[in-house]
Amino acid sequence: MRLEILHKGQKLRNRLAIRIMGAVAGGEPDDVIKTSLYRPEFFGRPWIKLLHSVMRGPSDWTPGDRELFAAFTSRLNTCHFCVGIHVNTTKLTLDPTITIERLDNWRTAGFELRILSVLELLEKFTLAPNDISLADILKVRAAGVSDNAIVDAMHIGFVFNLVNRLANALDYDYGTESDALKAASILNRVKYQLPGFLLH
Amino acid sequence: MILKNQHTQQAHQRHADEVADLLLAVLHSSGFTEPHTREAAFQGSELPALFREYVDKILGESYRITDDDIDKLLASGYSQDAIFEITVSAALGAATKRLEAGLSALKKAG
Repeated sequence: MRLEILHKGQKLRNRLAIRIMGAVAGGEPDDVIKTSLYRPEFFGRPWIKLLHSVMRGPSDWTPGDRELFAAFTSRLNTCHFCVGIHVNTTKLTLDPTITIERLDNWRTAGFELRILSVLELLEKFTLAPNDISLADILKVRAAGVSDNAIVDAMHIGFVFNLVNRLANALDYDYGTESDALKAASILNRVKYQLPGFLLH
Repeated sequence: MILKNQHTQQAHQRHADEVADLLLAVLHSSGFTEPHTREAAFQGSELPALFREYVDKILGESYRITDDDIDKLLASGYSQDAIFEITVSAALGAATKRLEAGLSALKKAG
């Protein structure tokens, strides 16, 4: 990461927690976790709460659907780090055959209509938000997506348009492809949560 | 129609409290930069030239940011904490702009 404070500026309790998490999981916590643990009253505390709610809270979308939307948004934002992690979480939760190539060719990749309609909406949401129109919403509804599910998908777009920019600006790095798979597996297991005491 | 509108209103409230808490913390908690500076990064407006250039990259093509961008800010006297706060504020602004555009279109759909 480009800011040393996110590695070395953590308070002692969180430095120890990072070390313990690393020992238990067999590798250091990823850069999103480190960023969340640094001065959590500024960012990490509300961020982790929102992230858990959006990615694993009650929704019409399965965790796997949500991981696909996350990977897709990250690809649109050319976020190498988040694509690496969330293609792997999508493999674990939705479809082991998912690849970056299928994300890039999403219109012909065999996704069901509800998913396709949301990918189309997320593309505009991410690349041309001012062009989102009434017709776009009606198209997603016509594909059988409820308003609650539309709002949930937009919030996945929200959190990933945020974290993709952090990852790109601060140069998040997941290490090797094997490390990315390990990080994805941990993320899936802990459901985007961190122990509350570390965020206070 | 009334029931449909109520349903859309309820849909709009999903995650609203969590998003509000995040905005409040990033833009208004005490930090190394003044809230008005974070607000400017969030809005993408009225920043010193160097920060302006950096924030524009975050809003647009963030994957083009390099070590050099951060090094220039550090060399100009900005602390790592200030850069962290401006980075988060700008990224949050870009994401919020998108969410508002999406929810506004949904509201129009009634």
